[in-house]
Amino acid sequence: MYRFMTYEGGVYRANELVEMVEDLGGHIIQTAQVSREIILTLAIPEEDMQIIEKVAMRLRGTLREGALIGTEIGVISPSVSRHHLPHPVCDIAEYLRRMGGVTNIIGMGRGTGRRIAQISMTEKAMIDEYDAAVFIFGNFEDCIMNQKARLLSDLNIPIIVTGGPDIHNIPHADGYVCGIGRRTDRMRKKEDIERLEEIARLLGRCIEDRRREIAEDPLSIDPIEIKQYVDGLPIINQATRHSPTILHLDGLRIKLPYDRYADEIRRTKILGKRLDYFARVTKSRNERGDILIKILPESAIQAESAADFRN
Amino acid sequence: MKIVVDGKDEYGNKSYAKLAQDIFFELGIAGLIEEVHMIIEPSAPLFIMSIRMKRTRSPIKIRDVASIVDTKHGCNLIIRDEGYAANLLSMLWKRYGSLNVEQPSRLEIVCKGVKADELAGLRLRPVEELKTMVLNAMWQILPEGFRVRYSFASGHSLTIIATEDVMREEWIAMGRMAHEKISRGL
Repeated sequence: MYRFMTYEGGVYRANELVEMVEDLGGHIIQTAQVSREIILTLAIPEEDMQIIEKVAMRLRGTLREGALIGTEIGVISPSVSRHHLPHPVCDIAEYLRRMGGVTNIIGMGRGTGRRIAQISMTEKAMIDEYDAAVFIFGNFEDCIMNQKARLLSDLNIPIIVTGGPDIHNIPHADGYVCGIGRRTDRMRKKEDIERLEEIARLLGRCIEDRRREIAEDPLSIDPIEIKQYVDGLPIINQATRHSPTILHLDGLRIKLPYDRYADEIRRTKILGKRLDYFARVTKSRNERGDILIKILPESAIQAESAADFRN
Repeated sequence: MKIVVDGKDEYGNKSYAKLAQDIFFELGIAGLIEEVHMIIEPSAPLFIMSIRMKRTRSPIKIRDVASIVDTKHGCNLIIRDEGYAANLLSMLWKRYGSLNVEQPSRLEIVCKGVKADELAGLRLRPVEELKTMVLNAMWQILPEGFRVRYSFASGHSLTIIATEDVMREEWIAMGRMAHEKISRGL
């Protein structure tokens, strides 16, 4: 299993760390250089962590665990009006990005109100594409427990809810952080930062649990390997949006139109086989119609091969 | 400014009192509001908000607060009563656009493409402008999903009743009482 870390240090001799990571079978997910400082997002084989820690110490850099690295997280607001945006939605999304996750803010079409609050099948399908989601609710216990919580039913990913009052056991939620709710100011104070840390911590725990589940029925190929192959394709240059490939726990999002590029993605050769041998290639439910890659577990491929052999 | 919130949810009441205060300060009208009373019953669902504004000046003609002189490109105003300066500028911007109305100094306003005769008879209505600003603040405070609304306005007081269900007579009666109460003073 990979451990996801962020390295921060000087540019000088940072290549030694990069080479060590690659020699050990790890991956450099992202590189960001600002002046003479470099920030590397790394995926390191768990058993080789000590070697990388020694190299980082020798280079006088900082190595931090990033449980959210390699995930895409939805931050869900009841609407896109000024009642709910930008505070606190944008602060939460920004903090989760600092913790390594890729975040997308979704404003529901009809998430406002109590009894009248609704979530559509399309919105549920879009949210289910992410690795986890954070729902931002308001200031009233009765509203959160008895009305808003039903929006979370039928979602199949970890859900963290934020709100104002101190309540427990919200139906369908994997965690709850109080003391946020509806607000008009930035989350800058000490207690606000603690709440943001709590959201990141709860999400990190859910993501780790999901990684362990995946490890019990291992994927046929690691998402990072598919990402490296896909990033090398010429068609990726056609992507107009930032970060054209986004890692998921069990796949990838490619920010290219499915209708135009899906077949080419399916035909991509990885380890001598077509990509669709390892994964299902489907169309995202978002408005851009991105390409979603869902990697099959090794057991599913073996079962399919056995069935083909019998036939 | 005094804010009173009634309702069963103590946390919700406190948070909406702070929300209202923050929004009034953000919009720059906190100093213009005397009292605010909110009744919040999420389970009903019902939200009543009553505001009494501070006394403002009566409507007045522009020529009574400023001297207006025609120029080659329009007209110049020299403000005589600085207390009306903000209202005057705001009204002229709204009417003629900010590109055509400039304030080169504290007591001088330059209007392009506007004749002095046209401005002289116009009235400044400070209380109307204040009501518009207060209404804007109330819409920002009221829960977005509570779109079924009923309102009362009289003198310097405004009350809005908001719900997401069909409006009931007893809620309108509650709103009327809240409006009368705030008009008298809490």
